[in-house]
Amino acid sequence: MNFTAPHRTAPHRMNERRIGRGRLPVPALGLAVVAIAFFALPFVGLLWRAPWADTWNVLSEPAVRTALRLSIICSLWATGLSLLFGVPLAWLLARVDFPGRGIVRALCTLSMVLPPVVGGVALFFALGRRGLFGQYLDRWFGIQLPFSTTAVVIAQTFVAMPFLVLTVEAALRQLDRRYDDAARTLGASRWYAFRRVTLPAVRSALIAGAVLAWARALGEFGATITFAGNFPGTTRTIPLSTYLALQSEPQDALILSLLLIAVSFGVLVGLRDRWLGGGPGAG
Amino acid sequence: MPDDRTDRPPQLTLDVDIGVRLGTLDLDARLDVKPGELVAILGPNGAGKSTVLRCIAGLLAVDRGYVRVDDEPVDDPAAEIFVPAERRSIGVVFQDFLLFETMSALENVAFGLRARGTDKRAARRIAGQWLARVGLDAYADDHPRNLSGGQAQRVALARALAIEPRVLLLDEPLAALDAGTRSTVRRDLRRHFQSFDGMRLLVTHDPVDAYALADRVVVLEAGRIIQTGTLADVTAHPRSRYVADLVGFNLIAGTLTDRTLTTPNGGVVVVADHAEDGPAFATIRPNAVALHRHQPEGSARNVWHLTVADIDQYADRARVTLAGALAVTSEITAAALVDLDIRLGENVWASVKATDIIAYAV
Repeated sequence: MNFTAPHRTAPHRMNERRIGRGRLPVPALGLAVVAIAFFALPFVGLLWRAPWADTWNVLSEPAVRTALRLSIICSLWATGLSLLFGVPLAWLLARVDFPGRGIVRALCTLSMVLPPVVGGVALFFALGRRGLFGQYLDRWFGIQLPFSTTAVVIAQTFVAMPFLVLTVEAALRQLDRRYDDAARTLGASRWYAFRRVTLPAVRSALIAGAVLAWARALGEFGATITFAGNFPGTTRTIPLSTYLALQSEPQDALILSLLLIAVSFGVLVGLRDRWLGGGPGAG
Repeated sequence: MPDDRTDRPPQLTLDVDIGVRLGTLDLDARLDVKPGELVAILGPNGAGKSTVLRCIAGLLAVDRGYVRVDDEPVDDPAAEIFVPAERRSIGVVFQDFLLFETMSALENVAFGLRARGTDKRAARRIAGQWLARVGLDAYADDHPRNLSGGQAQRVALARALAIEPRVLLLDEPLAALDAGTRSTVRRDLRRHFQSFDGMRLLVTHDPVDAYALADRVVVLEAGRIIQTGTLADVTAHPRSRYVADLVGFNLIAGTLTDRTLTTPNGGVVVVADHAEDGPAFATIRPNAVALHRHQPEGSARNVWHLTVADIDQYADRARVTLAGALAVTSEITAAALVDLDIRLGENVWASVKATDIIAYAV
């Protein structure tokens, strides 16, 4: 008796509509739900314990105000520097074939996966007063970077720029290079074509990359505290204040954490497909 | 003779001798285009057609040879001359037009003028005039994604012409369009070309485009120029199997009235196809043209008494070119040529069934 054929075909036809591509096997679905809970629970915990009534009082404390202002200024500087240097870097990685490109890309994005503290230590030994380059900055120009607001910006740029570079590089790779050819036959110099054709075509990736870099810079902690220290008014940003508050006033730490979460979450929700889609069509 | 080079009048032509090795392509092609002339490079994919255009445009340097525009070298490795694309006076219409998606149609056309330093207001005004010339002034603010294929092509043409180039290059100008709009666009193109008196070079794999648009055809195959001449010449004397197959049909131009095409010489072609009345082409495959020593009595609707103008043998096939009220080439086997005892200058009967003829509006 041949029962395999009807057994295979009949349920398949009946369920054809329900066996969509979005349907997961039950065990996988269960694990995915656990994963979501794993990410959601800490925030639920925070929200649960948040002293909502004190929010405004805490946020208007002078020390918090100062830290907040410093955070915003430094993260905007870091974003600006990431754009200034990161876009040409992304262009180089996407468009120019040179030996060791893979190595260079790995080097320039290393700080994404490195523990930020290690990045801070590395910066310290390179740009610190006795560092490889820092000693000359000090000796020749009298510039001492560590423990200054400049150091905060450098630390933030160090960890944030790779986000912009990778986002913009992906978009540049997807771009049809023949548009450059078209621009050049019309008399556009490489620079003019880059400004008028290439950059507008990757506009959404630029925005996405800049926002991601900004969010990363805003939340920077490890590299900042290692390289720039923790001085109120000059290097104590919101993440540093949060850590400090946790020791003495946990309620304040909660509120500052919520602030950073709200900003980061807002950024990610706002970007949604832009970052993942990357290309010129996305957004 | 004492230095006569300085006295020689400048040759106002596009003159190229391109030697390029690119992957498996070994290109070695010499050709020239005179002012007002439209030359079509016809060839299969991978023959090196687009590479020729890229070399002329300055997007690729030749390994050997030269590119001269109006006797002025723009690429000559022997003399260490290479003028980059942005400083050559060469307009290009690309295969899929490559309009800048982030700009409106007007901004696209103004782009070249802006890039060359024209101020914004003047560039927009001139771009507007070009858009009007191609009949798209109403679409100035539209973005390329909102334009039809034919409209996008006209914008691309206006963009290329707005910089007033000496040479206009077109890469497969009709390939990106669907079959339905091609004949309209082809007619538009021809009209717009007439207002441009520079040198024009187009690349195509479609002999219909070459026939409708070009004064002269250059057949490029595997990096070498196999043949050059008018399409009629090339068709009548194929120099390779590729040409024989590719250009393997007759094109008869005339006026269509009620499924009857009348040629300027009074020839009459009856077609089965329903095509719009007016100027039209009829295409007939040479192997559909039967030859007879005596007037045939069969069912063929088209029977013509014509003179043998040329006989060309290629392998086991023979092409017999007939002239008279209309010109048509018949392809028969070499054996049939002997059997029918067809000789130059004699009159023979040719017959074609109406269903073997495809007619379409110009």
